[in-house]
Amino acid sequence: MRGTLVLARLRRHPAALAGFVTLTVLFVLAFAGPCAARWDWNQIDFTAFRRPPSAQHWFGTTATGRDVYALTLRGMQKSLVIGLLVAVLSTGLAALVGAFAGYLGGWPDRLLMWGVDLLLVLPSFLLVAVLSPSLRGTSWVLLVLLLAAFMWMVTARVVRGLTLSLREQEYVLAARFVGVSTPRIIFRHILPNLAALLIIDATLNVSLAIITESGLSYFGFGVQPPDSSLGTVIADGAGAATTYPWLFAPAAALLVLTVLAVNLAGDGLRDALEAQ
Amino acid sequence: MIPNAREHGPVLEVRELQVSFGGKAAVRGVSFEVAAGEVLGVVGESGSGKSATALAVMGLLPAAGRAGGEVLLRGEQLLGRPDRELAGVRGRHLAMIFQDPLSALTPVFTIGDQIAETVRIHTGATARAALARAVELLDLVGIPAARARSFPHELSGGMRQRAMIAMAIANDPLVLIADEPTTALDVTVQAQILEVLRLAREATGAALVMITHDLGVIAGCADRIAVMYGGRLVEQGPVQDVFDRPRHPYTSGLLRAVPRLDSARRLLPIEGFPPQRPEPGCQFAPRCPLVSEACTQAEPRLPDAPHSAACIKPTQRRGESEHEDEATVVMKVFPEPRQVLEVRGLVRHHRVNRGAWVRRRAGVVRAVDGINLDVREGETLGLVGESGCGKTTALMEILSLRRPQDGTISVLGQDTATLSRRDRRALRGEVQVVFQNPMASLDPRMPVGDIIAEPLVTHGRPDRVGELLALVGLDPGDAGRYPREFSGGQRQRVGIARALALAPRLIVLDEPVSALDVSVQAGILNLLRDLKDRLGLAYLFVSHDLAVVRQLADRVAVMYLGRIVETGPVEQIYSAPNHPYTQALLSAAPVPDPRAERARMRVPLPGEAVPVAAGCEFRPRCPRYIAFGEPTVCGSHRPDPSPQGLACHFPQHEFAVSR
Repeated sequence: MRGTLVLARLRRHPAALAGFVTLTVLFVLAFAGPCAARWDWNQIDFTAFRRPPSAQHWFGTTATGRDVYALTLRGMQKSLVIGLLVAVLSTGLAALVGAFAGYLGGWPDRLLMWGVDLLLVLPSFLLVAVLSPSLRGTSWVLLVLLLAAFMWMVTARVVRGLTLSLREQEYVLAARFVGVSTPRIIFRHILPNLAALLIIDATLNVSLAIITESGLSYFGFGVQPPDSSLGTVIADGAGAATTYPWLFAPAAALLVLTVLAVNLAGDGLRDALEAQ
Repeated sequence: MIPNAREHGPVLEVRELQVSFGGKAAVRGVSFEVAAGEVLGVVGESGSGKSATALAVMGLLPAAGRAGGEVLLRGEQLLGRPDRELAGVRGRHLAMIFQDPLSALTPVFTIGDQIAETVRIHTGATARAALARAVELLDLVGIPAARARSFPHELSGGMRQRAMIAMAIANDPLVLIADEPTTALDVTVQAQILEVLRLAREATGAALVMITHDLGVIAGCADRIAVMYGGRLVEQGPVQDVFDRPRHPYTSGLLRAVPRLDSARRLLPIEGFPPQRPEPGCQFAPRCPLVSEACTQAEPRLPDAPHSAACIKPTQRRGESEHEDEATVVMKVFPEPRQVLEVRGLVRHHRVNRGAWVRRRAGVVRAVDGINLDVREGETLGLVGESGCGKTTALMEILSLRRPQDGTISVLGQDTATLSRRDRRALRGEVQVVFQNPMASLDPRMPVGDIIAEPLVTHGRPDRVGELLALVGLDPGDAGRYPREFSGGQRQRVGIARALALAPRLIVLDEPVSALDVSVQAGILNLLRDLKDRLGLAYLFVSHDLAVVRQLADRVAVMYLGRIVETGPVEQIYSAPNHPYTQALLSAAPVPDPRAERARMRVPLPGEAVPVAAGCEFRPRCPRYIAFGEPTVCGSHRPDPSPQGLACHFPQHEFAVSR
């Protein structure tokens, strides 16, 4: 019953609708858009170096003659997938670890929180940097896992704290006295009541993941050239942003649009989950 | 400021007071007056506008609040004055006592300093003189001088409320406004505080405006009474008159809905809910049994008379007499009542550990210290006790269906200590619970249909949500609505439906009505009573409110600091209590009848519940201990309950409390 109600509410939420539609359009653009272009992302046009947008090259070309439109969309593919996956993974992990630690208490709690504290004190950026040469040539999925692994700890601690107070709530007690199992209580009562926090965390994580990935890429650890992500495109173009804005503006605009759409969708989802 | 502008007549006059919050009217034309030394009781349920009235009079409305009309203190208008000027009046001539003294006192200053500050601000006394005055005031309200250096958190709730009163009377105010001053307190402490308030009023000669929802408190202390409903006064008059001959249907409804210590008469709830926003016509019309066409035309005004009601056809009859017929209680006779719950020597001690690094055992709290309880099929056992006596801990131990620290718990003959996982899960279907707080006991993120279905789904039973909703008097079509769309009473009904879902044999009721307004509470109590008769349920009914327990219980167990001090049939406990604590509890609980309330003999109980190292826990407060010359056995041995269920070394045989 809850599922259908939430869906119905989501449909009536204009901002959420706009967010989801924009996200869908961005995905379609990222994956179907390159087919419409005349140039492939790894092709080089030796007749056009650093040209402004034209009918040939819709977003212009780079210093090495690559098509910015194709490059940007190629980057979008990577960034969208990385951003969303990392956000879902890290928030999901945070929710699970935090809720189970807080609800179970005792030694599972101590063990999990010990792990969280350990990960918190590790210099994550350095570690990713050290690990990434050995990942070179492997799939980008490993990068996603690595990014997610270092983003969930603070949220997990917050979730644990909130769970500690939620588990004393009478409706949780009532469920326990009915004989509802622990995982079911966590998934049906604890996590939905943390939805607002988790959704905000996830939307923030999308942009954080995209930006962290671009940071890593900029230093040469993340997505490696010749492949591109929004981060690498922005990093490459940022230096000449004022003189050759087309190198940088489309990628930046798409990044902003993505984050905005994710935020709108997240807000809508939160409102729909929260009974009015 | 405000000198003796007028020597005689009312000290405080409120005329046509209007208060609104963000355009939503909370108080709509309230007029009343109080004379020096007089006590005006303002009664109303939540949302009736009584607190908004108090705040407007004090000039303490929140920023969103707007007030109109007149508030005259000794003939001078207070409304609309700048806050600076009002600050000179507040605390000097007008003082307020709040419901929650913990949030009304500053945590970082000692109470002595806080009272001294009030004195200094308004009189310009020296620090030394002010502190001396503070100690004097604390003495007046019964706080020893040494406690003047205590911080608010070091004092108990009752002590904090005493300190609040001391602060309020520090400058001999003309008017004291007390907003639910005893609502957060236990009944024995409430009796002490009401006594302190009376003393304070006598010492200062102030007029007292007493705002409360508790008709019993009003009956005991007010001279005149004003009844609020939907932002207006619906009736006012001398307290005796109003209780004897209520003229407004709401007042008479309220009097019929309030549970009383001295009778188990079936309550008559007022149907429906208070208005959310002002409607045209009489606000009470939608709930009024006497409603007619004319009622919805225009809002009736409160006539200017000693005893008046804002009703177009004020009734003249007594509030009580007409509905006495349903006193017959159907006694179902079971061939051999089965024991549903048997608790023997249940113990639950909490260890208190100190120290961040090295955890040292600092002490043990004996929350539940060896109690016996029996509940038979179709029977209601009332478990009565004040906050902190361990009744909720005992409930949680029973509901967890696990092996207790010590003692045994048997449900339907099965010892919980020996249950397998599967048996325990099956047994959960037989023992269910209804919680106190209808806001917290339902998951706010779930439609009520899902909430009620949860036990059914968990145990793989067929869906009968609609049937259950109908059983508790709700519309089965409401299954898709969320808890926040329901009123407090309806939510409690949802909680009851969830408890009934698995057709349990025993329902544990943890203060099921204490968060509800009187008019709604009666409906829930009746529902519980009917369900018990229809379904043959057994209840373990926990409450601090003796009058509510009287409504439902067949037998009563009185708990004090982790132990049961007296058990017995409800008639016996209420008419001839034997344990001095039971006697004190009964005599402290107010009765909503001014004549009876004022004629009662009180057994005053000093202090508050504090555990003792050895001997009888009740000894420090026990009048019998003092009367018998402090016998040593009380100090050395904990009394064990007798076969009759009394735990006292000195039972009284021919004792009856005169009430």
